[in-house]
Amino acid sequence: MSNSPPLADTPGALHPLPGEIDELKARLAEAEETLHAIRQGEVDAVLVKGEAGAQVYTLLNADRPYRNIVERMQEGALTLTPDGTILYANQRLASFLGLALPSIVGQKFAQFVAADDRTSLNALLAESSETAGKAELALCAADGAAVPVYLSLVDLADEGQKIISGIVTDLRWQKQRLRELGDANAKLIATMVERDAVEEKLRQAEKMEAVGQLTAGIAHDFNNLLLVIAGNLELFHARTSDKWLKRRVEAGQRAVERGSRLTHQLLAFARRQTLRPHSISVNALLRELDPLLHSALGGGIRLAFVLGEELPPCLVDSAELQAAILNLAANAKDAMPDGGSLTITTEEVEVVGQPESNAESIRGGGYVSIVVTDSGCGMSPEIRARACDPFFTTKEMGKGTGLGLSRIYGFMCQSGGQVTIESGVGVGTSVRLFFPRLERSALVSQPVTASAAPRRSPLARRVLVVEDDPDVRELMVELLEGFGYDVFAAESGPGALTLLDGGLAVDLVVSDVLMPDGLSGFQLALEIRRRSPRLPIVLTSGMTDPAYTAADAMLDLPILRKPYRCEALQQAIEAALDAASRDGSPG
Amino acid sequence: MNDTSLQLPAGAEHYVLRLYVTGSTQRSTRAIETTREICDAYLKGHHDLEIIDLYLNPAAAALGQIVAAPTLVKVLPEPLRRIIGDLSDRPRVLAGLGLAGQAAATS
Repeated sequence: MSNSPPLADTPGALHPLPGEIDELKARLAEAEETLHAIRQGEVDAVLVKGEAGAQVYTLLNADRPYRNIVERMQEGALTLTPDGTILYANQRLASFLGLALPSIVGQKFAQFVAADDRTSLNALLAESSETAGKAELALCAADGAAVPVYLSLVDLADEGQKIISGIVTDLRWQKQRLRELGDANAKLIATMVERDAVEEKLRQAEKMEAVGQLTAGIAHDFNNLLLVIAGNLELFHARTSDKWLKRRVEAGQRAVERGSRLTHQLLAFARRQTLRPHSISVNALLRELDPLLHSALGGGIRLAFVLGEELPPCLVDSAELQAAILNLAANAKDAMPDGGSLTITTEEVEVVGQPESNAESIRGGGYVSIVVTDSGCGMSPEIRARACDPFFTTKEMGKGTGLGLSRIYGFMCQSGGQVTIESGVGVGTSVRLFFPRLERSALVSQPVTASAAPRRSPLARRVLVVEDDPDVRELMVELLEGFGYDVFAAESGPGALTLLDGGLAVDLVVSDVLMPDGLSGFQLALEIRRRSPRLPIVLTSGMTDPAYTAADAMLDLPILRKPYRCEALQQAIEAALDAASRDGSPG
Repeated sequence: MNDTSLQLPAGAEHYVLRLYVTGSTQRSTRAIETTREICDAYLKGHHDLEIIDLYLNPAAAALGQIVAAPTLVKVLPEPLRRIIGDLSDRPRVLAGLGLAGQAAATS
């Protein structure tokens, strides 16, 4: 309107055209309308042309909606002087602080900020005169609680007075969520770590199981081979008087001995060795071992026993346990070439563990533990992880078989216990053996030492040999005939039963344990017991049948470990015949 | 001036409207509502409506020769008209936009 051409009052425009008159009327009406609206207060703002362009002058309460927004929003709002004095604060900020508004306005904002954060507030105030600044702070509520907030300040840049406006966002909820997320994350990580550990254990257990099966299979077959070699060498030895030949045969027999020890260790690792567990006192066994340990360790190593008092007995194969302790001592000695100390500790322990045990974790319950600790060079974690692997050794070629700890591992598993190894380079090694404890009332039995059976004339006893391996069978027949027995042979359990059912009368049955044809030695023994309860039975075994059960143990049959010497076979047969005749005679 | 434009049916002409308000005051809100309703009822499909907040853009006031807010400006069709003040007065707005005849015909 202000730029509209002035109303025509120049001499040339004395007589406006009708169209112009309409236009002029309309503009007049518009001007009057504008004036009317302003007079009536129907406008919110008037626009005034100033030096800096148009300026908006707000009329009565026209900015109330903005005020409402600021007053009612869920964020804290405030204005500050450049030195941090609060000019205005909204209700929300007052509620963060737990104070009434009048006690906030006019105060320094810094006094409501945690002492630690005042420096950053001052920095923010200084910075906000240039650019908008943001920071996380903690406010101190009236009740002393710290309220984490996010503060953003901006210079309002109003003309004249310098004012800084701020928005305060409550971070309590976010912090809480962050904490929960952090907790959840930590739990997740812990679960993952645990899972990794369990998986690693499982892998290790599976590896040990696979290696064990392979080992057991090889050892079993080798035992049969060794038995055939040993038996034939023995027969040969008996038939020749040539001294040179005898020496050669004896060298062969020594090699068979060594092979036999090796297969025995392999079977021990594979948990397939034939154990003869009985209730023993671990402390008594260790005391008996004392002189042997001293001589095994030699001069430079101090041996100390720390034996727990009144330990409950354990069901253990004592010979195997002795071998285990001697083996650990030998390892310790090798780890301490310059001397050191070896401590053997026994104690009763309660293990809080898995309800089910497996190759890598121990079942919860009561145990007697034997800890063999040396002050030697120790093992790195990598070596420690493989210490029980068969044929893994850090010793020089020819110095160790790499089967010592493998054998102990298998023995402990088979005994229902566990072996754990703690070691670190330079800090020595602790090997801990856990044996399930028995009730204290269980009788401690004396280790049964094999006593030589009295030699006596076989008087043409009739013996039935049950063996699936033809070479072994032939050898046994040969050996037993050489001893003067009447020998019959069957190649399987069912074959033996057919002979017996067909009327074959024998004085004793010698059977292999592990046979492919339907019946194991134990099952055959059960069948024979049913038919003739008094018929003595001797079992020979290359390894313990994996299906060997407690019920089998109940049969309490003599078991001859393969490979055996001819003499041992004869002794076992004679002992069984003697026992049968004792049981059979009255009194 | 195109005198015939007023006689043509509203549907034939394209309207360009500018509404100048100041923030979200009650009057501004009412002005926006009324203008939208009128556009929907009479100018559907043949109008452009621009709503300008003078708080955010004070320079626009000078360009549009605005003296107070709210103001509704009919830029097209000519002649240019400004309607100032209470825009909830519907007949007044319709008259200012040259739509009074249309309103009578439709109602």
